[in-house]
Amino acid sequence: MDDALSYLPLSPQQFQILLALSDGDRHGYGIILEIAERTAGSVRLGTGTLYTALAGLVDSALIAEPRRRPAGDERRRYYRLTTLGRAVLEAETARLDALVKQARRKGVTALGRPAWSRPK
Amino acid sequence: MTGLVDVAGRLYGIALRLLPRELRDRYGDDMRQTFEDRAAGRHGVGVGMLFIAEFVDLVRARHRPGSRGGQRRHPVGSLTHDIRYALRLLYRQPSFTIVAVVTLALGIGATTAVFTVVNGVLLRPLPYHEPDRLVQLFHGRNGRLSMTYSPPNYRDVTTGSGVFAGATAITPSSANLIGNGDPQQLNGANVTTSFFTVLGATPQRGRVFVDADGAEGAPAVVVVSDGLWRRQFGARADIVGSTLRLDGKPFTVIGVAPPDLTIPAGAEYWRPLIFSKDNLSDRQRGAQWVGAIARLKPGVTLEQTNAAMAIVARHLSDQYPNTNKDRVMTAMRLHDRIVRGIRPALLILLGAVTLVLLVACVNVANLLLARANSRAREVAVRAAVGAGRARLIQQFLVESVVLGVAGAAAGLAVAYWAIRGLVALGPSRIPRLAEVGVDWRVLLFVVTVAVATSVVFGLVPALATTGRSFARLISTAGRGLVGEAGTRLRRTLVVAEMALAVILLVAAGLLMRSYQRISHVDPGFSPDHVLTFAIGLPESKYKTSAAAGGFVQTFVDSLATRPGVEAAAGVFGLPLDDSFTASSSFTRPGEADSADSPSVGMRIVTPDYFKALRIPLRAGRLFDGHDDETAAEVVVINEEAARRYWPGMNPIGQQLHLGVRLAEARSGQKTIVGVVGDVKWNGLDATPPPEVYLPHKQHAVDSLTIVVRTAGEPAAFVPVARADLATLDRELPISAVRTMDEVVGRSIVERRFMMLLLGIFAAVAILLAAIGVYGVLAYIVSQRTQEIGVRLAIGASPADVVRLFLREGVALAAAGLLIGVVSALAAGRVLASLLFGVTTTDPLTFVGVTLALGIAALGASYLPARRAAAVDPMTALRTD
Repeated sequence: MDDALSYLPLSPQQFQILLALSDGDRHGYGIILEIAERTAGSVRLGTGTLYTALAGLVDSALIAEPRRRPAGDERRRYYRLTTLGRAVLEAETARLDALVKQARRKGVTALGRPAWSRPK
Repeated sequence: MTGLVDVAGRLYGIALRLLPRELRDRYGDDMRQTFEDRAAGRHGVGVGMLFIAEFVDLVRARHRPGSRGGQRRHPVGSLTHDIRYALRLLYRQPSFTIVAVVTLALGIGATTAVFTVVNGVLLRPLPYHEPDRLVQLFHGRNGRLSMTYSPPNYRDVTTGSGVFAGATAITPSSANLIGNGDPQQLNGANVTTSFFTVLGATPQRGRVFVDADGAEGAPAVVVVSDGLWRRQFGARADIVGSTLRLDGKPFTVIGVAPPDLTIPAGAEYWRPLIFSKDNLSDRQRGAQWVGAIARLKPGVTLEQTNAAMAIVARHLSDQYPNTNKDRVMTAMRLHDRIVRGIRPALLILLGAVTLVLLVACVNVANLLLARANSRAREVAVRAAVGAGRARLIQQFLVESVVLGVAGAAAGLAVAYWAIRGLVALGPSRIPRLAEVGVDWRVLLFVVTVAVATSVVFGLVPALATTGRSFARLISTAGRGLVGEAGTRLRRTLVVAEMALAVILLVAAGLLMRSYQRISHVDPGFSPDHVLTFAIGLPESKYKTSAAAGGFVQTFVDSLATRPGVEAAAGVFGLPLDDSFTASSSFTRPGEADSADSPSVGMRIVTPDYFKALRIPLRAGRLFDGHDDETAAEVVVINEEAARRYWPGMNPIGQQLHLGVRLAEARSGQKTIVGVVGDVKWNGLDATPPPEVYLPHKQHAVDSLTIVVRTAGEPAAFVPVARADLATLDRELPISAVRTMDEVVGRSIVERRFMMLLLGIFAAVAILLAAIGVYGVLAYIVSQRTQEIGVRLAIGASPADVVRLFLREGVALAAAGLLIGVVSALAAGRVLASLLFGVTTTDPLTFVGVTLALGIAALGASYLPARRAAAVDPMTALRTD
C-alpha cells in the first residue's frame, strides 16, 4: 500500500469529497448535496470541478466505483472511499489538527466560527 | 418544466466539450446526469442561473488540471488568469461595478422579458402535433372573409378539395353549470368528434371522442379542460365517468384535455357536435355557424391548398348561386391566424427594447472608457513587459464578458419579475400570453445577448485604450492616457445615446398622443353609470323564442322598478365588446340578392336599450312594448345606414329584407320606424358601420347582455340584479359582470399597454442618456481643471464657467436631438399602424421631446458645471 502521507496535502475540494464519502457510497449529485448540507450551503461544488477532482481521486485509487449499483438506480454512477482513501482522509485530518493545535498554542484563536460549524 | 431541464442538459452536454477529451469520455454522461439532477425542480430562471454557474465552473475546471490527484498545480492558463484578474478589478471598484451591472441588468432584463413574450406568442410552435400542418379555413365574398362555414359547405370543401388529412368543425357554446353554490356560466365548444385527433392532442386522463360519440342518439359525453378539472373537481383522479350537469342535462365526463389546449380561446369543455340531416341539407348552405380547422396532408403547401379550395368554391358557386355565388374559400396557418392581430405591436416592442439595450451598452462603454483612463499606467507597464495588442484586447474583452455575464445573471432576475408583470398586466386578448415561459430559445437568447453586448461595449474601449504606439503609451502614462481622442469618442457615444433616446421618446410620445386622442372619442353613447352582465337561457328550459323573449322582458322590467335604476334593457351585441360580430346582407324592394348586396351590422335589443345607453333618437320612433311577435316586423337603423343606403330621402317607412334567416322570422320583410345616432362598434378608432336594430320580442335570442343605468355606483347594483334573477329562475348564473366604462376601457387596453411599455423604455433611455452626459461632462471638467483655474484667475466669474460647461452639455444634446429626430422621422412609418389621430410628424410630440431632452441634458450638465465653478484657482494651478 502507498504511504498515505505522500498524498498530502489535499485540496479543499478533495478533502470535502472524501469526507462526503466517508459514511457511504454516493453518486455525483449526492456528493454535491451532502457537502452543501453539511456546510449549510457555504461550500458548493460545481459539476465540472467535482468530476475533475473525482477523476484525480480515482486515478490515485483514493476512491473507486463499486461494481454493483443500488437496485433501482442503475443510471447513476456511484463512488466509494477505498481503504487507502480512508487512510489519506485520516492522515489529512491529523495534519490539519496538528496545524490548528500549533496555531492555538501561539495564541491564535478563531474570531468566530463559520455558521455551518455551529451545532444546531 | 421537464422540457427545459432536458434542453439545459443538452446544452450542458455541448459545453462539456470544454473539458479534455479523456475526462469527457470517462464521466461525460454521469456529469450530465448530475447536472440534470441539480436542475430538476428549479423554475425557469433558476435553471438559467444554474447553467451559467456550471458553465463558468467548467471553464475553470478546464484550466485547473492541477487539481487532479495530489500533484502540484500547473501554471494558470491565461484565460483563467484574465477572468480572475477581471473579477478582482470589479470587486475592488464596487461603485463602478454596481452601476455597470445594474445598467446592463436593466437592458438585458427588459430585452429578455420582451423576447420571452415574443417567443411565447410568435415563435414557439403551437402545442399540437406538427402544428405547421394545421390551417384555419376562411370563407366570404367582397374581400370580407369570415371564419364561419355552413355545415354543407364545410363538408364539401374539406372532403372535396383532396388536400386535407382531416378536418374538424367547431362552434363556441356556453352552458350553465349547476352544482354546489351559485350557478356559473361556462364557455366551451361543440366540436365534431375528429377535433382532438386533427389537432393531435392526447388527453391527460381518460379518452377523447371517437366516431361513435358523434352518432345520433349516442350517450351525452363531455371532455373537460385542465382548468375546469382542477377548479370544479379539485383535480380528482377519478373524474372519468363522473357526471357534469350542463344546462340541467347530465353529461358523462370521458376525459381531461391537455392543459395547453386552448381552442377556442377560453374553452372549458368540449361536447360532440352532431350535424343533423337537416343541418347538412342544401337549404342550409346560407346558415354559417361553424368554424373549421383542418390538417394538411404531408407535403401539401398552402398555395396548393388555396388552389384546391378555390376549385371547390367555384364549383359550389355555380351549383348553388343563391347562397354561394362569388364566395371564396381560403386557408391560413392556424398559428398565423391566432397571432396576426398582435404581431406588429410585439415586433415594435422588441425593436424598442433593443434600443434600450443599445443605450445601456453605450453607457457601459462610456463607463469603461472613463475607467480605462485611470488604468493608463497599468496598460503601459503591461505593454512594456511584452504584452501584445491582441493580448491586451483579450484581457479587456474578458473583463467586459465577465461584466456581461454578471449583467445577464442580474438581468435574468429582472426579466423574471418583468415577465410576471407583463403577463399580469398584459391585455387578456393577447393570444397565448398565459403560455409564456422561459425555454431553450430564451436561454440561448440571453447567452447571445450577454456575449454580443459585452463585445459591443467592450470592444470600443479596448481598441481605444490599446490603439496607439507603445512608446506613446508609456510616455503619456503619467497623465491622462485617453486625452483628447478619448473625450471625442465619449462625446460621440453620448450623442448616439441621446439619439437613441430621442427615437424612443418620439415613439412613446406619439403613442401617448394617440391614446389621449382615442380616450376622448365620443362613442355615441354615454358609458358612465351603466352596469352590464351576461345571461344565457338554456334551450332545454326556454324552448320557444316567445318564452325566452318573455323572460328577458320580465327580468328587465323588474330591474327597472328598483330604486336608483333609470333604465334596464337587454342587448345581443354590446358595443365595443370584441367577442361579438353579427352582420347580414340585405336588399331593398326590387333588388336581387347578389355578391354586391350591401351589408349591415345587426343588434337585437329590448325597447329601453336606447334609453339605458343614452343613444339619441334622430327621426321616427324607438321600439316599444307593442313591437312583439304578433305585430308588424320593424327595425331601427343608425344614421350611417340612413346616409349610405337611403341618401337624400326619409328612411322612415322604407322597407328592407335581411339576407340572414333569423329564428322564427316570418317574412323577413321589415319596415324602418326610426333612426338613431351612430355608435362605435368595433373600436373607438373605427368608423361606425351601418347598423340595424331588431326588437328582441321579434327575434328572441337565448344569450344576451343586460345593461342597467343606475343613479349611483353601478357595481353596487350587482347583488340586487343577482337576487332579482334568482327570484325568476334560481339556476341562471350571471357572468361577465362589467361596467360600461370598463368595456370601453378594455377596448383600448392594448394601446394603453403599448404606451405604458414604450413610456417606461423611453424613461429608462433618457435616464441612461442623462447619466451619460453627466459622466462625460464630469470627465471633461476633471481634465480641464487647470484651464478653469486660469480662467478664474484672470477674471472669469463662476457664472461664466457654469455657462461654459452648460453650453457643452447643450451642444451634445442638440447633436443627439438632430440625429434622433431625423431617424425618428424616417422610422415613423413603422409606428403608423398603431397611431390614432396623430401623424408620425406630430409637431407637439417633437416639441415635447425636444424640451424633455433639453431639460435632462441641462440637469445632467449642471452638477459638473457647478463643480467646475467651485474650483479654487490656486489649487488648480499648483497641481502637476
